[in-house]
Amino acid sequence: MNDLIRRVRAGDAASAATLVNRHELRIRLYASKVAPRPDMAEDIAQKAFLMALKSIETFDPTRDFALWMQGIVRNVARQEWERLAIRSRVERDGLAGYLEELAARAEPENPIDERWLKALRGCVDKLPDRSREIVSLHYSMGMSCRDVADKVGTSVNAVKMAMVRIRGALRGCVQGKLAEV
Amino acid sequence: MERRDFEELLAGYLEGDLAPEERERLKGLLEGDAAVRDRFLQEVQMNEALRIVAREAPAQGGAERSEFVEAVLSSWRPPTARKAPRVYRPAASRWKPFLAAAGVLGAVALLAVLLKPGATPPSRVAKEVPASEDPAREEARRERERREQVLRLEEIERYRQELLTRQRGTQEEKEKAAAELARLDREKREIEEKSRSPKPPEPLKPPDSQPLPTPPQDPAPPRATAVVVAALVHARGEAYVLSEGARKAARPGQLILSGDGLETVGAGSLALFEYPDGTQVELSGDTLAGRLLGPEPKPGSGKRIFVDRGTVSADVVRQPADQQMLFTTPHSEARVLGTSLVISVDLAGGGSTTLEVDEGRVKFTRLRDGLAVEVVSGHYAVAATGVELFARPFPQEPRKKKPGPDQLKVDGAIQRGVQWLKAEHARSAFAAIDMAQCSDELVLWTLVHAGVPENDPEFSRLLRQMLEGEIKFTYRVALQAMILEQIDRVKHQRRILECAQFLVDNQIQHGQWTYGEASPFVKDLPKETATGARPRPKGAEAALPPGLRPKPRVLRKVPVTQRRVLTRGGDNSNSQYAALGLRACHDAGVLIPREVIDLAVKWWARTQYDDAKHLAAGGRGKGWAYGYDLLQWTGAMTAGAAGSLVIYHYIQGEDWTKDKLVADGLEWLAQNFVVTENPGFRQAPGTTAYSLYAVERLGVLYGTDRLGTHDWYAEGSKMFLDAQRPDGSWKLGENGYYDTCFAILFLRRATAPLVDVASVDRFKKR
Repeated sequence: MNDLIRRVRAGDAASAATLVNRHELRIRLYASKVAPRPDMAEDIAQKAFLMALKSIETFDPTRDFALWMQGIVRNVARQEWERLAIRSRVERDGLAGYLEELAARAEPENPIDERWLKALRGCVDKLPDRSREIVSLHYSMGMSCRDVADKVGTSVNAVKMAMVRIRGALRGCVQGKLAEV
Repeated sequence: MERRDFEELLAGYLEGDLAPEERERLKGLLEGDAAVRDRFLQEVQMNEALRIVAREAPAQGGAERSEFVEAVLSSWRPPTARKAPRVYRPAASRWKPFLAAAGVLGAVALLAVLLKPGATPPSRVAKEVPASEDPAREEARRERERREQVLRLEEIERYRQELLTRQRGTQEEKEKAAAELARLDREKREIEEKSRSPKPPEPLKPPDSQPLPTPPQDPAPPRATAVVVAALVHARGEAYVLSEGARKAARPGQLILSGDGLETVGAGSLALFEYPDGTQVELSGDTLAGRLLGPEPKPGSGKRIFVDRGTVSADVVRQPADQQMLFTTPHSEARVLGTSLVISVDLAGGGSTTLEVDEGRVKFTRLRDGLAVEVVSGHYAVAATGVELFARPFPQEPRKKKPGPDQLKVDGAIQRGVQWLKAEHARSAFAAIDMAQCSDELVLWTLVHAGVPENDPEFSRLLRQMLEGEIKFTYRVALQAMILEQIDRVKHQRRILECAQFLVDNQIQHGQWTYGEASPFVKDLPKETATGARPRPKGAEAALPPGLRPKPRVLRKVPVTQRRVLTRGGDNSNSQYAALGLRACHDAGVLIPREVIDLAVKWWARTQYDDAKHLAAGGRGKGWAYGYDLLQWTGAMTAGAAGSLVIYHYIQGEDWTKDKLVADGLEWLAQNFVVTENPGFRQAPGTTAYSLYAVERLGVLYGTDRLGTHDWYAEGSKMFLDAQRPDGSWKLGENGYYDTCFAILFLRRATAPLVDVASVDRFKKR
């Protein structure tokens, strides 16, 4: 790790890519818990990585890089809250503070890793056509539930609840696949 | 019941649309039940995991480097390496392929002219410049140097002749001239010395090492069809390169060989190409330039373009005296050394060719009888049967009518508003804040239109501050481009190009804009772009609204490349200002990539509400909202969206009056038009003036005085005149600075009409 950090400090882009790649999943999942809105997680994680790379000189290599990154993610998320407050007068509230606390607690017992994602890919492929269409429109195309509802000809609430069911089904499918292995 | 409530809250949370009280309720549920908490965290993680999986490219699952990693690294500048960003392809020099080809094909011919037989490149080059890794670039540099030497020798010779004339003057004049002649002779000898080389280039040896035959002293020039003449800079609509009997779609960067032609089909099409010396030629729509030739390395063989029909504009940099550039049409021939001109060939009737000269001097010959006339700047001539051939001055634009009493009231209101703005704005809390919606640029934009001179202290303070500041935030950058385009679009073309780079680099992948982030690619732009200020012909001021500066003609165009695309965010307010900014950049000669425009248009087209689908929301027509999921279409957003579409059609050379989306937007505004509030957004009085300024833009851009039965300007100006406060300001909502700016801009009808903008550039289009 120390060697990797040293190479990043020296400006080696390949090493920087390795560093980001190694921590991407964990940091994005962490950002999803502290972002003002879940769809801002990716942006926040990207900004945090960028800030980390820019200030890599200040990182103490004896420390846990992921924990250092999480601190940056929290700061970026708070900045996003401030922007929201200016733009749309949406203030950081009690739920945001509580979720930040939750995210800071111990990692879940079965963290999501590449194996888990691989299983999820398989499960998404097995979804019924309509469910897969909803997943694709919402997650791949980035359409809001309202847009998806327009597109598939149903109500917004129906789409939202369908999403809850689909996620539940996928969770069960992933657990099953991992247990098989 | 609680489970149902939780799932609804969860769904709302993941969608990002929980109300404050719902967020509080969700917090209570999470705090009170560990199982609910676990389920919530699992759902949040699953939500993000699905986002990750769904956005992977099909072949990317588990790939070494994800798009996410690429996106991060594209913005990272390593502290030492300073390499080009990885994701976005750096804009390659469009002359790189040309130079490579020219280096091989043209070097022999150029050497034959510029150097004596047996010479090698100048020794100074070898000593002072390290060997380039790119032979083509190195060759091009040498070629430039040789051309400069030739030009300098020509200048010296002309000056010598002039001095020889002076030697027939007084004794003092003779002595001075003799000294100057001696100096010139020295310089001439030095240049000639530099252009010589101690030994000839090594001939290539064949693989069998057999001695080569002695090369001819005067090598034959390369085949005309194989010489690269120019490179295509920009193509729009249907544009083709005609080569060896085939017609191929033109694409930027494409090389044009000697003998090739160019054709544009359709009124909105365009093709712009550039010669190595910087001469730019633009084909307007429906134009055929059947053949491009030269230059060849012999006297009298300069660049030549055969214009068969349509309109060709050219900004010709100074050509060597014996290599004048020729434009040949079926009716005429125009011979130029260095100038800017427009040639229009009309085949209707007996056919005619019109030549307009913006700058310089052109010898214009009628082919039928060989009669020639000199056409100087600000003049035009027509070669046609039955039309006398002589140079006429450009027609003057008619003077504006004297203002009526209402206009006097409006002018008075504007003056009082400007006085308040100048006195109060600098003291406001907003002025000191470096925020995304900073009002400084908006105030400056207002002062520009209110006729405040540039030497006014507040004007110059705001201008200086803007020019010294960082290029950031969409609203501000768009306004900056608009301001600079209005003040002097040629002088500030480089800065406007930076604004354009910011704007195209801050487009979201679905076509919107958000507040934006500074683009690291701004610093990669060329150091200089403009060729210098060239004022509009005399008489142009008369046609301009009060206070507006005459705009110089943009002679040189410069392309901008989208180097990154953002992935998230976006709103229709920033998006409509981005369109205004892009229009300003376009008018300043920045060539906006078609993909950027197409994507923006796609967004507006995709997000127009149809109330047939949203009966409950009650829209009475088709309009736009701030964001697509708000279901609250408003006057400000609808006017802004329709205005943006008009701008994009204008940039693409299309007829905006045929766009159904625009027509539907106008219809919605007509149905809902009120001036006392932002239609559809009564609860936000702060947006009333903002909305009316959007209506003014749409009305002027589209070219309509009415929205249905409403005379939007008459109704709007009456409201503003009635609402002006005794101190000269307007305050319809919370921010009197914004409202005062929007009121003045509305009253002034500040938006430049699209048809008039064209007239600034081409009197033919009036």
